[in-house]
Amino acid sequence: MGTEKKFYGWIPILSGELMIEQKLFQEADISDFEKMFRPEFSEVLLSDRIFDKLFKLKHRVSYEKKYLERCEECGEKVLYLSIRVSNRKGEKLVEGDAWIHRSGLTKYKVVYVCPDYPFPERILHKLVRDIFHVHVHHSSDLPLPPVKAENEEEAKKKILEEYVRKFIKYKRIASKTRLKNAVDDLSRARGEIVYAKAAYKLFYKALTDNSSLISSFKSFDESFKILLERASYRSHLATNYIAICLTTLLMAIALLELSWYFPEWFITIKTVKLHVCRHLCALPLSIFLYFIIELIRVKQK
Amino acid sequence: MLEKLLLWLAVFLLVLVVSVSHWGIAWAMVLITASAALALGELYSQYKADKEYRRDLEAALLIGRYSMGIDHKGRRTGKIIR
Repeated sequence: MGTEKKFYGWIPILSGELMIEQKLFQEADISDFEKMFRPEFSEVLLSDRIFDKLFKLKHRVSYEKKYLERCEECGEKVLYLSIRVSNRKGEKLVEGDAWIHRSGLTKYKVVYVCPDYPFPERILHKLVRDIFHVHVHHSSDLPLPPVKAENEEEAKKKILEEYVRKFIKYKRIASKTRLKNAVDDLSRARGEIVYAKAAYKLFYKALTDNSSLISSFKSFDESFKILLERASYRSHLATNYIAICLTTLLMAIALLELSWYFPEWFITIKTVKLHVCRHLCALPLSIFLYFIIELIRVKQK
Repeated sequence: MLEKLLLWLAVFLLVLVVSVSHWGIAWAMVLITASAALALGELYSQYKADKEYRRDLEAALLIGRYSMGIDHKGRRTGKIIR
């Protein structure tokens, strides 16, 4: 199955230009690029199924052609790669071409894809990106998938728009998911904003109106910072509630157990039938404490 | 928040019933049921979080919570990343 659609992805970088073995992209020659393709990149685990992970059923990746050429659109020096992914039997699954620019912008052309897989450009981008980028702010998957575009200018614009879309999604999901995940997601979001700003510095010329985008990145950053503080605070509070409830329960039981040390009136009350109700004392007390702490917290804010 | 309170209510009621009927093992029961409640609460909240991510897979992919792979037969695979 052959397709001629063009996709563009961005290899996230902060430096403004890809570094190739201690050299800037523009200064590197093909032998420097060759050194980047270490043997571990020839076998990659592309499946996320537990069975495949357990038995390390890796795919074979071959970068058949590698050479430097001039980009047809911008005239810059680009690295051309021909990528082929096959399974252990040697059956071809995905095949495509990639043109990597100094800014990290990469053009993909899908040559072949097996009929059951709908996103071959994502596989190609993941393989190329993992060579040049180390994941710090997120998992090793694909948080910024390649975009479909007719030319580089359109692609740059779409990549920046994709970042905005991504931050909206971060906000929406962080408000719905549990605190632990929200803290994790918001931390990642803050990390990715740094890359979004780097992308903006590289690609802003492609935008007709660029003023609103950078201010929206700043606003998102501020918002994520506040949300992260709140979520972190609340997630720590949950543990405190549980600890306090448990301690109160244990203390209440212990006190009632040692009640013979208490004055006569207490013993009398106890004999009135608190034997059955001792846990009932602890229950409302725990819940009462829960709300008291919540009230104090709200007042402190 | 209400779900957590209900969960704890269930724990206390369970402890109450068990300790009234078997007072000798009440201490152990308190600790065991509390631990069980914590574990169940964790699993339940994890399940709910996963469900939320599955509701919008494209968003989950964008924020790095969903991985999309390819298996040896070329079929699409997908998994929530915790």
